[in-house]
Amino acid sequence: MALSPRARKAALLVHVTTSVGWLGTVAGFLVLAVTGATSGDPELARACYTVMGVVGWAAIVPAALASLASGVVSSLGTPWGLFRYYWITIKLAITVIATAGLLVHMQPISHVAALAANPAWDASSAGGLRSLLILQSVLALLALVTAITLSLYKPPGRTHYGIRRLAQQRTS
Amino acid sequence: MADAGDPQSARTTPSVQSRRPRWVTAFIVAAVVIIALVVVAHLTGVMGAGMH
Repeated sequence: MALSPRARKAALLVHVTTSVGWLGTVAGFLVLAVTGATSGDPELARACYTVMGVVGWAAIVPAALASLASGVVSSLGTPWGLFRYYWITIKLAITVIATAGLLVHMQPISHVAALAANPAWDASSAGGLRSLLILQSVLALLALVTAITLSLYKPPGRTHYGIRRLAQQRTS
Repeated sequence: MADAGDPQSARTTPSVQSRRPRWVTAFIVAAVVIIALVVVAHLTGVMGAGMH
């Protein structure tokens, strides 16, 4: 399924845009999580957690899914493939795990947002969830920066499958 | 996942080798350590208490 040069550029454009968007929204999410957990102003904390629920569903989840889909299309539509090079395989694993983790952890995010929307909300009712949200954001940032670093440096190394494919191409 | 361009001309070309690169091993070790730390933090209640 080789893409034309124009389609390849378009897929890459979508992939880079959504990946960078994902990183940016997670960075914003981290700022909100830290502010919500450390602010002495209950109204500011309430606003942060309410916005986090909206940002999670409206920006981070769509960016993650679009990044994953466009990345798979870009890889399968070019000679790079998905499993021929270690850096692409690892980047795929990072993206899949990060997306799955995001979808799973949208539950506590939504839970805190619902708590914050309650007029009787007390910041202490969120308990350890506040630190969990910070941890999630830091881990997500770490994963995304790692994925972007892999894309830029493309560290060498073919997988066993990649070596076999290369040998087949040379003999055919 | 991949970038535009021809991978045959990229830095990855000279690395046709059967051994797993050291950076891959280092990455896997780091990932396992981080995942273990997160699991321990969850199990000990350092993170996530109050979710239920």
